[in-house]
Amino acid sequence: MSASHGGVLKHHFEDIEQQRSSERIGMWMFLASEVLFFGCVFFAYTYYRYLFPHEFAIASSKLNVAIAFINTLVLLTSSLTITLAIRACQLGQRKALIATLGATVLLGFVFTGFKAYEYAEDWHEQLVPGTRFNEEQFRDVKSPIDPTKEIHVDRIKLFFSFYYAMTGIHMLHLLIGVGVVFYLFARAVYGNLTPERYVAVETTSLYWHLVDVIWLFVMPLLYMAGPHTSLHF
Amino acid sequence: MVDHSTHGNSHGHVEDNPAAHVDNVGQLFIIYILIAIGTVISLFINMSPSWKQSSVVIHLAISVIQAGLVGYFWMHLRRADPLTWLTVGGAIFFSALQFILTLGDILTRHTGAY
Amino acid sequence: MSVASVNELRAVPDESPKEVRHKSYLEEGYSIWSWLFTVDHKRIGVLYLVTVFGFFLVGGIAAGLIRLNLLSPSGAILDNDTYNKVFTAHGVVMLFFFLIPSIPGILGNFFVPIMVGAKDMAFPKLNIASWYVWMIGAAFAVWGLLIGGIDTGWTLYPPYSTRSSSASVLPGALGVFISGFSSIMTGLNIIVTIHKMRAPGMTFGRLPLFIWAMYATSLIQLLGTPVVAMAVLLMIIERATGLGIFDPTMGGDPVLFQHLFWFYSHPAVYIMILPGMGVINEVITCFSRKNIFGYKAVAWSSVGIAVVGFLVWAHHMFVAGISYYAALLFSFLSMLVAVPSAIKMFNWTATLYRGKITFEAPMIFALGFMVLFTVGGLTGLYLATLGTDIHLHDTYFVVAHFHFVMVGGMVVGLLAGIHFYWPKMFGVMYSDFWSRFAAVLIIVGYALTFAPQFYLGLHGMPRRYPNYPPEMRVFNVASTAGYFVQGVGFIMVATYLILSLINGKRAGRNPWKATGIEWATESPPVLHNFEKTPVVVCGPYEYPLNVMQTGEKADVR
Repeated sequence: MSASHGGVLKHHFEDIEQQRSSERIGMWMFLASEVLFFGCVFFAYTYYRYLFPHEFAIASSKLNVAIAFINTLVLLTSSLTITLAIRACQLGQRKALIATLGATVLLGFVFTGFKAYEYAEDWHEQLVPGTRFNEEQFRDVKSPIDPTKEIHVDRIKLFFSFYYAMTGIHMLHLLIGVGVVFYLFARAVYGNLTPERYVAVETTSLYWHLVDVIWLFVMPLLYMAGPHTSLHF
Repeated sequence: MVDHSTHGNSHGHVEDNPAAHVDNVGQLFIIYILIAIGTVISLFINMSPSWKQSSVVIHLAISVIQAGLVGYFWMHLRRADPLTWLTVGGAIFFSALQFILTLGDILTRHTGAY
Repeated sequence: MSVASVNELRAVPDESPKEVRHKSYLEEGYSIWSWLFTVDHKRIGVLYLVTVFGFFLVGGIAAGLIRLNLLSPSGAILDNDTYNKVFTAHGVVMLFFFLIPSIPGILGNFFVPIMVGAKDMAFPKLNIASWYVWMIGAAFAVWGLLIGGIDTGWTLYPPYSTRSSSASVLPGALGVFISGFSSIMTGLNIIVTIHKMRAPGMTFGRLPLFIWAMYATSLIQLLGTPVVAMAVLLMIIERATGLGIFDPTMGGDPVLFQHLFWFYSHPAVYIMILPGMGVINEVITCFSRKNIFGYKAVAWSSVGIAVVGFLVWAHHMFVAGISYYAALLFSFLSMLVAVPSAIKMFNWTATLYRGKITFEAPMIFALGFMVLFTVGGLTGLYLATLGTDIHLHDTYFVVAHFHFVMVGGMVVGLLAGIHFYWPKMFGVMYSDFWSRFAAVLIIVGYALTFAPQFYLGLHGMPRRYPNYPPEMRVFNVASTAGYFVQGVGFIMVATYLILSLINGKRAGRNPWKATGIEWATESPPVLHNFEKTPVVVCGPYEYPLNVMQTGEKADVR
C-alpha cells in the first residue's frame, strides 16, 4: 500500500486504478439493473396508454405540469452541482466540494417538497384511486383526442395508479440518493473526502444522474400525455 | 483512462493523479442549458393549442437527446472503456427486448370490445 | 459446532513442523461474530451453505407433505386449502430461497475469487450485505408462510393474489422482492470480480468453465431480477393500497403481470441450471482425465443460454390468452434454447470419450446430471411446441419436466459441486463408499419420483390438484416411494458430510489430482486464498499435459 494513496487502496486490490475502475463499473452495472427495473413499469405504462389513449389524456391533463416543469429544472440543477462536486473533489477544493454537495442535497429536498405539495393537491382534488377518488369530476369530460369517444372512469383510475407508482418509486430512489449525497457531504465537512477518494463522488453522481434521466422520461410520459392550457400552482 | 498501474511492484509506489481528468466547467454549463432548453420546448409543445396525441414522439425524442447528453458528458461515457459501453448497451438491449417481444403479443392480440 | 471441531483438529499440525503453516480461513476467528461480521468471501460461502441447506430441508418437508397427500386419490392427510398453502410454500422456498442462491451463493462466493486468482470479491461488504438482505427476505417469506400461508402458487398471479386470496400474500411477496436484491448484489459482485480481479495470465480463454457459467448466471441475475422485482412491487402496491395496475375492474390486464413475471422467471430457470452446468465441466474433465472438448463452444454456449433465455418467456402463457402470432414466435424461440444446451451435452460426451473414467461420488452425480438433464431438456421441447403444449399445459408433465431440470440438473449439480469441492472448502474427505452409495441412491430415487409423473401428466392429471382418479394411484404411490428413497439419500449425504468435519481424513491440497488453479492453494485456503498472487500459464483442464494452471506439475496419474 503506497503512502501516496493515503490508505485509500483496499487490501484485495493490486493498485488504485483497478479499484477505481471496479467501483465505477460496479455502479454502471447496478444502473443497468435499474434501467431494467424502471423499464418494466415504463412498459406496463406504455401498454395501457396504447390501449386507453383517451382516458390517459384526460387524466394527464389533471396533473400539475407547472410543478413538474419546475421540478425538472431543480433536478437538472442538482445533476449539474453533483458533477461540479466531482471536479471540486478531484482538485481538492474543499469549500467548493462542500458547497456543491450541500446544494445537491438541498435541491433534492426542494424536489421532494414540491412533489409532496403536488401529492397533497391531488389528495385534495380527490384523485387517489382506491382511497379517495371522485368519479363525478370525470362524468362529462371529453377526450382531447377524439371528443366522440366514450370515456371509462376505471381507466382513468388506472392512469392515476401508474402516476403514484411511478413517481413514488422515483421519489424513493431520489431520497436514497439524497441520503448517500448527505453522507458524502458529511465526509467532506470532516475532511475525509480527499482527492484520492473522488470515485466515491463519481459513482454517487452516476446514480444521481440516472435518477435524473428517469425523471426526464417520467415527466413527458405522465404529465404531458394530455394537453395543458395554463400553468398554475 | 490512462493505465498507470504496474503489477507486482513490491514498493507499490505508483503515480496517482486524481485530477488527471477534470471536467470543463464551461462545457458542463452549456450541457445544462441545452437540456433545460429541451424541457422548455417540451412544455411549449404540451401547452400549444394545436396539441395532438402524436406529440409524444417529439417528447420522447427530446428525452432521448437529453438522456444522451447527460450520459455522454455528465456521466463521462465519452471517456469510458468498452466494458462500460457494453453495460449501457446491454441494459438498453434487454429493455428493448422486453418492449418489442411483449408488444409483439399485445399488438397482434385479438381484443374484444373492451 | 461442526466448524469449531474442524478447527480443533487443525490445531494439531500433522505435516512437518519446520514448514510454516499459515492460518486457514477457518482459523481466523472462532466467535460467532467472526462469522456474522465477516467480509471474507469463503466464510460468506459457508454462511450460504448452512442457510441454503436449511431452506432445502424446509422445502423438502413441504414436498413430502405433498407426496404423502397424493398417496390417496382423495387426498390422504391435508384439506384442500392447506394443500394449496403447502405446495406454494414448497415452490417459494425451493425457488427463491434454495435454487436461486444455491450454487451462486455457496460455490460462487467461495470459488469465483479463488478460480480467478483474486484475494477476495471486488466488493466484500456488498457480499456480506447480500447474505443479510437475503436473510431479511427469507424472514419475511417465512413470516408469511407462518401467519397463515400463501395459497396462490409461487407465481403469485393477480387478480387472485391481489384481490381474492385471503392468505398472507403481502409478506410473502415482500420476501421475494427483498431477496431479489440479494440476487442482484451477488450477480453484480461476481461479474465485476471476473472482469476486474483476474490474476496475471488469467485471460478469458483460460478461465475455468465454471467461471463462464457463473458469468452468464450473473448476467441474468443482474438484468432479469429487477424486472420481477418491479412486477412484484406493482402487485404489492396494488394489494396494499387499492390502486389498480393489473386489476381487470380498472381496465387492467392480468396477463401483463404474467409477461413481466416470466420475463425474469423464465431466465431465472437458467440461473438455476447454468451454475450446475458449470460444475459439471470441472467434474467431468477431472474424473475422465481429459481436457474439455471444445472449450470455446462450451464457454459461449453458457452466454448463449443466458441471452436466448431472455427471448422465450411467453411459452409459459400459451393458453393464457396471448396472440397466436406471438405464441408461434415464442414457440420457435423456445426451441432455439435447446441448441446451446445440446452443445454442452455433446461436448461433455465427447470429453468422456476414451477418458480414464473413475466413479468417485462427484462423477456419479455428474453422470446422473447428464442423464437426468437430457430427459428434462428433451421433454422441454414437447412443452415448447405450441400444439402439444395446449394438451400438456399445467399437467404433471410440466411438473416432471421442470423437476428433471431443476432437481435432476441443479440439485444433482450442486451435490456434485459440494462433493467435488468439500475437501477444498473444509480440508477433509468424506466417506468414499457412503458417498458413492448415496449418489446412486439419490439419482435412482430421483428418477423413481418423477418419471411416473410424465405418464400422469400425459394422461391429464393437472398440477396443483389435491386429488386424482383412482386409476392413477399406482403411479402416484411410486412417485411418493421415490421421494422417500431420495430422502434417505439426502440424510446419508448430510450425515457423512457432518461426520467428515469431525473425523474426516485430511485432504491435501489436491485430493483429486486436478489441474485448476483452485487446487494450487491450501485446503482449506488461507485468508487471501493464495500465499502470493498466482501467475496463470495455461488453461484449466491440461490433464493430458499433467500441468496445473499455475505451471506446477499436477501429478495426474
